[in-house]
Parts: sequence; C-alpha cells; structure tokens
Amino acid sequence: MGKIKTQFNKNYQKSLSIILALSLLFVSIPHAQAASLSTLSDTMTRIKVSTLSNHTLVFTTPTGIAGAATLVVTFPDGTANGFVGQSGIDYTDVDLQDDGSDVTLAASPTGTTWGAAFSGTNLNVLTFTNGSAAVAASSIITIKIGTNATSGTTGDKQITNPNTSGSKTITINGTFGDTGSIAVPIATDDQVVVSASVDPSITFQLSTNSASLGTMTTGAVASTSAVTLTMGTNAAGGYTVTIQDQGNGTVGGLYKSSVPTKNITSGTATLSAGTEGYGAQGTTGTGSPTISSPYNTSGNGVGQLQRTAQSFITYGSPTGVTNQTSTVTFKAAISASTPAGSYADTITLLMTGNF
Amino acid sequence: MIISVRVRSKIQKLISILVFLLLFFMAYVPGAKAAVVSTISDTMTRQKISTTSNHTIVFTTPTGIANTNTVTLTFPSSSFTMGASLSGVTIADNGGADNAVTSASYATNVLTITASASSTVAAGHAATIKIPTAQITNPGTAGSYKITIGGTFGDTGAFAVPITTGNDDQIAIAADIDLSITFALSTNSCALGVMTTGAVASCGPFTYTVGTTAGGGYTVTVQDEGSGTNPGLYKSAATTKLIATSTATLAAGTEGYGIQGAVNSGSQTIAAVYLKTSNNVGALSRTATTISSYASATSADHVTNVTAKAAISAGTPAGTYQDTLTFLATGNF
Repeated sequence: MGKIKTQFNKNYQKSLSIILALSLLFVSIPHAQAASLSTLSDTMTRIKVSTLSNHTLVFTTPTGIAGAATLVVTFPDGTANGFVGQSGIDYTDVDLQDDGSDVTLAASPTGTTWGAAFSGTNLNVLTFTNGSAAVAASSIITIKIGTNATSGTTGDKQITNPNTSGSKTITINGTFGDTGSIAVPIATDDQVVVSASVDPSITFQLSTNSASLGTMTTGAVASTSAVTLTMGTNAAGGYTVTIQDQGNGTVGGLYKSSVPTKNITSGTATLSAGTEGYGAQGTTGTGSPTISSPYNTSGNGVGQLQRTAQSFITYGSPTGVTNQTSTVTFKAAISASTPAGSYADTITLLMTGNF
Repeated sequence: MIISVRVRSKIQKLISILVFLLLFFMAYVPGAKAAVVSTISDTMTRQKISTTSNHTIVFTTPTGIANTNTVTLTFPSSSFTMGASLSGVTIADNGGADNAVTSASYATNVLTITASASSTVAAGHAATIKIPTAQITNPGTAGSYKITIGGTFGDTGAFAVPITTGNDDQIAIAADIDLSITFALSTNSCALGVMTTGAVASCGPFTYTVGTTAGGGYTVTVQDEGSGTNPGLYKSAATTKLIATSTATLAAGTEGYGIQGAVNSGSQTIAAVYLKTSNNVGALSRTATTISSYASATSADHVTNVTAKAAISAGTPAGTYQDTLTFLATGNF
C-alpha cells in the first residue's frame, strides 16, 4: 500500500513538473499578435457581376513586412462563382508599391526581389513573398492587379468579378503579422448608357424661278442676274446640288421651240460675242461650299448644261447654324445666223443630303 | 430562624422589585445615547483599486441634520484618499434638491461635512450626501471597507463598500461589424430622345444607391466612355461626331453635354462640379471622377439622382448618339 502511494506521488510530481515546464515555455514564447491594417480601400475599374476588373488595393501596415515574410490577398470565395483570376495571371499582372515606390516582382523571391504568385483553383489568392527588402512599420502598401500594373511588364490579365451581386470581403494576412479586410460592392450593373438621336433635316431655296437673258445680240455675251441658292442640312456627309437642263428635250441648250426650231447647244467654253454658246457658271457664297467643275468659272466662262443631272455644288459636312449660299448665272451668245425668235430653257437644281 | 426566613423573603421581594424597575427603566426610559441611522447605502461610480470615484451616500436620520451640524465619514486608515477640502458636496432632504454644504474637509481619515442653512434634513428623513467630480481615490488594495457615520448631528451608523477583488471593475466589450458595401443602379439606360435645336434634351434622373459599414465612408466615381478617346456624346457611325462635354450652362441651339447630381436621400456630398440644377451641367471625364462621397458608415442607404442633359446646334449631324457612364463605389475601410 505504501509502495503504491509512493509511486502515485512520484507520478503526480512528474505530471506537475511537465505542466509547469510547458506553462513556462508558453509564457516565454513571444506572441505574434496581429495588428490591424488601417485605411484600407480597393478601387476597381468595374463592379458589374461577371466582368473583368482591375484592382488597386491600398492599406497601411502598422507592423511592416519583414524579409521573407508573406503577404496574402484572398479574393472570395474560392469557387467559380467568386472572384476568378484570368487564366495565366501572374506577377507581371501585379504591382506592389511601398510608400509609392514600386518593388521588383518575380515569380519567386530572390535578393531584394519579391515573389508574387496566384494560387487556388480559381486563381483567387495572391501571395507576395518578401525577399530581403524589409518594409518599414506604418508604410502604405499599394497593390495593383490587372492592366493598371504598369511597372515592368504591363499587365494583360485581370480578375473576373463574382457572378452574384452583393458585398464581397477581400482579406489580407500573411506571416508579416497584420490582418485586414476590405469589402467591395458587386452590382448587377455599373453602367448607364446615355442615348440620343438627331433627326435628319435639309432645306433648299432658290431666290427666283426665272432668269432673263434679255434680247441677245451678236455684239455681246448675254447674262442673267445671279440666282441665289440657299442650302441647309445636318446631314453628316454634307450635301450635293445638281443641275439638270431641259434643252430641246434631247440635247441641252437654249431652245427655240417654234418653227423653225433652233437649239443653241450648251457647252463648256468661254463665250464670245458673235459665236453661239450657252452655259452656266457658279460662285460660292456663305459657308464656302464647293462649286463643281466645269461650273467653277468666271468671266464669260460657262460649264455645259446637260440633260442628265450634273454636280453643281458639293459640301462634305453639316452646314451648321447659318445656311450656306452660292449663286448660279447663265450666259449665252449668238451668231449672225442664229434665227430670231424666243428661246427658253428650264434648269432644274436639286439638293441631296448625304446622311 | 423565622426572622431569617422573613428577612430572606423580603430580600427576595426587594430584589425582584429592583430587577423589575431596572428592566422597566432599561426598556422605556430613553437614554442619552445617539440614534442609529438606517437604510444606508453608498453608490460609487468606480470600485476599481486606486481609481477616483464619486460617492452618493444615503441614510435615514432619526434625529435630522440641522444648520451647522456636522456629518462625519470616517474611513479606515490608509485606505481612501482625498484632498483636504472637497468641493461641490451637497445634501438633499428626502430626495429633494441637492443643496451645497458649508464645507467638506478631510483630515486623518475623517471627512467632515458641515451642513448649511439650506442643506438641513428633517428628523426621520432620508439624507443624500453627494461627493461629486471624482475627488476620492479608492484604496490600493481590494477588499471590503467599513465607513462610519457620526458627527454633531447626533446619529451614528456604519456601512461598507467593496473595492474590487480583481484588477478592474470594468469589462471591455468587443464586437465586430461585418464589412459591407453595396451599390445598385436604378437603370442601365437613359434616353435623351430626339434632340432638336429648340430645346435642351434631358434624361433621368436615374439613381444609384450606396450602403456601407466602412468607417471612412465611400466614394462614388463616374467615368465617361465618349468616343473612346475623348469624353462626350458620340455618334460612331460615319461620319462620326462627338458632342463634347463641358461644365457649362446648356442652351438650345448650342452643342453641349454633361450631367447633374443631386441628393435623393442621405447626407452624402455631391461633388461641386456636378451639383447643378436647371440647364447647368458638369463635364464628364474619361478618368474616374468623384461624383459623391461620404466620410463615415451609412446609417441608411444613400440614394443619389443623376440627370444627363445635351443640346445640339443646327450643324449637329443627324444620327444616333450614345455614351456610356460607369459608376463605381469604393469603400474607405
């Protein structure tokens, strides 16, 4: 009985010693008490569900990051429904700044170069491993992920947002000792499309519907007064004004329809007194529209009027607040053999918008 | 021997009478001894060791406290400490007004409070003595401390207060609020319709709603797509055209484009450039620009109105125009 009691006492003393030793051991090991990161934010370029986005995470580390320590950024939730790194995303798609200065990143740490790598089935965990470049306490850390990572190789891979909307919490921890979280909003959509339309419009006006050459003689080239054309449009491609001649119904010209009929044929020429000829010339006005060849002439020069519509004025842009103008003047000359009588012609001017 | 018996009987009778009289006097004749206060309490503001505390001492005084009477509180030696003179000490009669005493002085473990003419207490009433502004420091050792009441007012009594046996009398409650931020747009389209030179076109307001627990609040930015190079309302079909955006007062017949912001609900701050009304608009940018912000957690969702406005000139090409605005919310945790 006494032996059993002695043995019990020995065991009891041993157990007590072990417990005491363990207690002292735990007391003597300093606690790696985590500090909380402060002033955290994550600015994204898109917050729409299932959409690729860049991330710019900023936070202050009270402890700093010692050499060989890790810093881990975990995007929730590790499934295909959560944040998913694009296939191939790696350290080239990431920047890490210590108080605004970029550190050198590589796939794994060496010397002062940090390692940076994505892991997890959905590449949603980004782990930085410090090389030998310690980050001082209270430093501001900036992490860029995506095409905004321009230090070294510019990033070309991003992270796809979760496929459900709501508040999503990104955690930051690692052996560097500090911890923190950031929430980001994922929304059904983050864009508003503003749309509008402008109706097409076009206006065209002639200053008169008649132009008289008067009584023509062989001694002079006859001319009408200038007829003003006024054009307005918001056609993005501008407009074209064409000129078309009635003539004798077959050939363009100034026509005497009574017997004996006579058509003073229109041609591109410089008219001279005593020689039959007929045509039109144009001049540009407000807005400087372009007078087409062969009507962009002056003096007694004229362009041929034809029975098919010919370009008379062109303009390549919308005409703006003030309507544009140009003029058309008709000129004719006769010879000594030109039959007496009344001559007439009908000119049709048409404006077409290039919408 | 007979005499002896008689004498003994008389002596016994006499003793009985004397005992009776003694008991009678003990029971019914009031002594000159002081009365004992009752219903005593001392409510402290802190009971942690070596910590300053207020005291509110309440007791019922059979005798009452008259003008110039003193009430003494005798503390155990080397226990509570305080200055030689305490200020702001009051006495209330039966729960009435707290009236200032003439003086409250401390020496050698005894706090002597001298009643003033206004701080008297009627006999049989509750006296409430308040010693405010943390003028008494608790003992440095935990335990039960007996304090006795005395003074010229005539009554006596005693009570005890606990000084915490642990290191503290307080429990720090810690709690976390889950991080959260939500954002929602009321619509994904805003149609300005067919614009004319006769009026400034407008669409909206549409809204965005933000709620967050971020202690630093939130920032919402707006970013413009425009032509892909410059911000504005863009006609992408040939011939392309960009109605440029600018901070301006739009007028019918003159090209212009921009947005306005306004608080729908909440106390968020609308950026000055977008805090516009009527036909005034703020310019959009192809870089994210703050449209609204708030510096602390939102107690309720914040709703912000956004209105887009545009005007054209006679020369604005006909066609379909479009722009994409991207709104982003960032929590400041």
